[in-house]
Amino acid sequence: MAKTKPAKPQDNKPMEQILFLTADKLRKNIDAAEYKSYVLGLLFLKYVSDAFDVLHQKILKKEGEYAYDDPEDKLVYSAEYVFFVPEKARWNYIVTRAKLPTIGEEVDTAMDLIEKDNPKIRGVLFKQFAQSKLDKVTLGELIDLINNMDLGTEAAQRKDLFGVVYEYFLGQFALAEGRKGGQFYTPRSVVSLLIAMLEPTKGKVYDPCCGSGGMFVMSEKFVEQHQGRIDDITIYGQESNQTTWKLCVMNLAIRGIDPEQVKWNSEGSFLKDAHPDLKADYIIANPPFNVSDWSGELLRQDGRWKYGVPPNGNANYAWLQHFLYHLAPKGKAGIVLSKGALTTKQGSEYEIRKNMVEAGVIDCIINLPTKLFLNTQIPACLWFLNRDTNRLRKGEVLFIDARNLGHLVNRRTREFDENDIKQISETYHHWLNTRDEYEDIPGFCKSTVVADIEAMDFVLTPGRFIGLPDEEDDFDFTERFNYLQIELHNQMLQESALNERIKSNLSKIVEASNV
Amino acid sequence: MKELSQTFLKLWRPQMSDWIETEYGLIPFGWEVLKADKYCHKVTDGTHDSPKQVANGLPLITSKHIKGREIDIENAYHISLDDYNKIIRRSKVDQWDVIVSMIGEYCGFCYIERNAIVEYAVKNVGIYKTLDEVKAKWLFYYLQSKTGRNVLEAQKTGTSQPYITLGSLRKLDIIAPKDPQISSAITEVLSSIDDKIDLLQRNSNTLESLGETFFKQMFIVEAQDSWEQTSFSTIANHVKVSINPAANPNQIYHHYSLPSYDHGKQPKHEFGSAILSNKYQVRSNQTLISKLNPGTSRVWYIHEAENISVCSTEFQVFEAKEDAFREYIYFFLKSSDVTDTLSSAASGTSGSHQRVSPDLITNLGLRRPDNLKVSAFSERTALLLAKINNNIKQIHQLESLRDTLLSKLMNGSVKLTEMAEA
Repeated sequence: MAKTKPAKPQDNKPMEQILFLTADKLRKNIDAAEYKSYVLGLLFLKYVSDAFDVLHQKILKKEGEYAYDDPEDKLVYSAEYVFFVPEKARWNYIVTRAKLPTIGEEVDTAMDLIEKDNPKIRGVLFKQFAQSKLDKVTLGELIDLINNMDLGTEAAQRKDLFGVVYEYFLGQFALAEGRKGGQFYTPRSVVSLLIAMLEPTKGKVYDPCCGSGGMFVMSEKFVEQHQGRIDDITIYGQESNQTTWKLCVMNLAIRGIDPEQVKWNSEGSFLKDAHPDLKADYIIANPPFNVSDWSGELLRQDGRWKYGVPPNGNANYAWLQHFLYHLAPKGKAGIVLSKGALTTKQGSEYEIRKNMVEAGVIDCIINLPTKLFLNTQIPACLWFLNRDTNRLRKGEVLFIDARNLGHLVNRRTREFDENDIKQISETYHHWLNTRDEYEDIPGFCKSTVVADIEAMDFVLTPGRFIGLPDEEDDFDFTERFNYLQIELHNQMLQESALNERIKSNLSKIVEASNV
Repeated sequence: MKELSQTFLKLWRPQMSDWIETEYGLIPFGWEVLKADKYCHKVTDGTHDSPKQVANGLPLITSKHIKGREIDIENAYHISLDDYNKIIRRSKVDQWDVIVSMIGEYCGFCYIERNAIVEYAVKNVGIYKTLDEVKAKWLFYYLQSKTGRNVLEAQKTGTSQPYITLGSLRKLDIIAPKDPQISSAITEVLSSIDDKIDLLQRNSNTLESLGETFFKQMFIVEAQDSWEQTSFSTIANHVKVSINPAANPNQIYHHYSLPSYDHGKQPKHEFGSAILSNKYQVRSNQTLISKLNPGTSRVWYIHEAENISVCSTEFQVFEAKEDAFREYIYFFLKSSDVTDTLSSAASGTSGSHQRVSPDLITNLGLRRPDNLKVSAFSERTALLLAKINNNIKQIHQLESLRDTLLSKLMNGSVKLTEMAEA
């Protein structure tokens, strides 16, 4: 035991430093928005190559179960969810070529070779390293830098590496990319909470705005932690940004998750639903907030709008209904949305919310604390939808106010820790599955019936029900008016006294001469 | 008062011998140049640690929170009571301390602590401890004067980020009368003006609260079911008259910008040539609302717009369709419901630049009150808004008076006599 190295969680920081250095290296040649394609491309190469190498070595050494395997047999690798990397694409080979003027072409060839041997990622890898705008000396240095990262270790392979890298670039370069508003990476602790609430153990998991695939990666982890098999869940996704979609495919492929059903089209989930017939068991999504140009005017008659036609100016309620449409009869969904959606009375949104409450499809609403998201200050909440008509709590909604949970990791970012996630998800599970284990806790959670919500005019802000009001609700006109009147009166008296004081002071002023 | 006048008489003889030469030019006889650590009881600085942020605790004020003459306590982060106690053991701020920002954009900005109870810790700021009201005020005004500013400026070092060391704060030259009665008389002139400015600001806040209280009572608490549910655009016109000031470079424009809103709601007077982009025209009795970062409510009632007034296109201009709705529109846009709605609908990838679309503002929902109620509200609040406007103007005048007098009083070129007694 003493010989094995303790697991080191500390390789986090150097990684970010290396990322910064890599970005810095490219700065003189390439637009900020393009950085990530180059860096992520090389990281991918290194990542699959390192993983390949670990297994390759084991087979060469004829360790244990690999004693009779052929080190060049592709099937051995795919059985272990490891990419087979042809010789000329292996990182060690690339490094030896790093100083040659043809390095650009060599990297492109390497990408090609990997794609040929791994059809699931065909057309996904970035192959523009030979372009003239990328100076070959810089590329060589970039390879050297990445060479110092050890990605083959189990610790590194277990991480949502691409998520971390993607998050980093998103944070650093969001401004440079002039990205459309509302799009951002879902922080890990929020994804963990969504997963802990939904517990997706088997069936179809769907994310119609899947980004780099963070929800899927965490779902997979959840399944593993609960002794399930990855094959028990099938992943369905859609993403409208092609670069992000490619990232997602890479992210899933290196973990052995089948990316087959993760689709890209530029029209997006509303105009061109990539899975029109899908009925998912779990939907986990963080749709872009408050999208105003979602082409709603083209979709007035759409079959998805069962609870009302969403307004053209905001896609929030279109997303909610898109999710409901795709839920299987016992399916559940967990969604991140802007807090405004809880109270809005814009156009038809009030009606849709009312209809959803009355139809009993809303299970739980969680108010989130501020500063959870990296790139936005918009207050957010979580919605949990449930289509199971036979559930114990049908016709009831659980409100949870999590504004006091989480801790600040730095001045701008808050995170939920394991205890926070446990507290919230256990409350929900007790409520959902039992009558006696759940209890209302003032200031934290409250179970309500539709009539209570109706009394609040279908405003779904958890604070209204739980007893932590969002603003002072103890408005007393007479009290305030009297107080302000007295204050005003005193100010008037002070003002006349001050006027006298200033007048007398100013009359003493004389200008000195000769200076 | 008699004693005081005699002091001045002694001092006030129009002869060259009454001035002494120093490296800062002539200063009145009886004044001296001395180092800050001699002038003050003690010169120290705040913590250099970075205590952890907590949700509920006491504010930690750092150099960037001293922007003007006030401390920006709202934007400071909070630290635990333990960390607070640790910091104040070495660097506690007390009443009549003058604190100076030591690093960064606001390096050299000063603040005078007038409150008896101080509940914040400081970091990256210098603390001049005077233990004396007059001394503190003198030091504070001195640091605002031309000479004081130059002396402080000369201490700044650092290429990318200016900073002042504690050592140079200790050795700062301070020019002051030896006789505390003279300092007292001079600072009293400036203080009385500052006190009035402060009072007018508080007065404006009270008047705003009064208006908000009426609004909440009359239109929210007493709202009636018979009032039609409609949108903001049915009572207000969204006015978008575009003006290109640069086309008339010699014309003076009254420019309502976001920075001028934040600095005391006084429009800037600028030549057309100085204004680079297109602006919206602004007229009397209109209300402006900022679409940038709507979480901070920036709503501006234009009482009287001078010819020609323009505003930044970050502002959206609204005009009442019926005169009786002018005040209603202002207080409606200021209400917390509207601020909440707009801030939760804002989008933008960077936290510091969130915007809402103007349509969202015109589509804001409201219950249109009956005309009788609106007229009653208008009657109650029109004068409040007029007084607030008057306060803003007065503050502006008082500030220029103070700034005119300040440097001259602090170097002795303007003196006080006993003439007021006559």
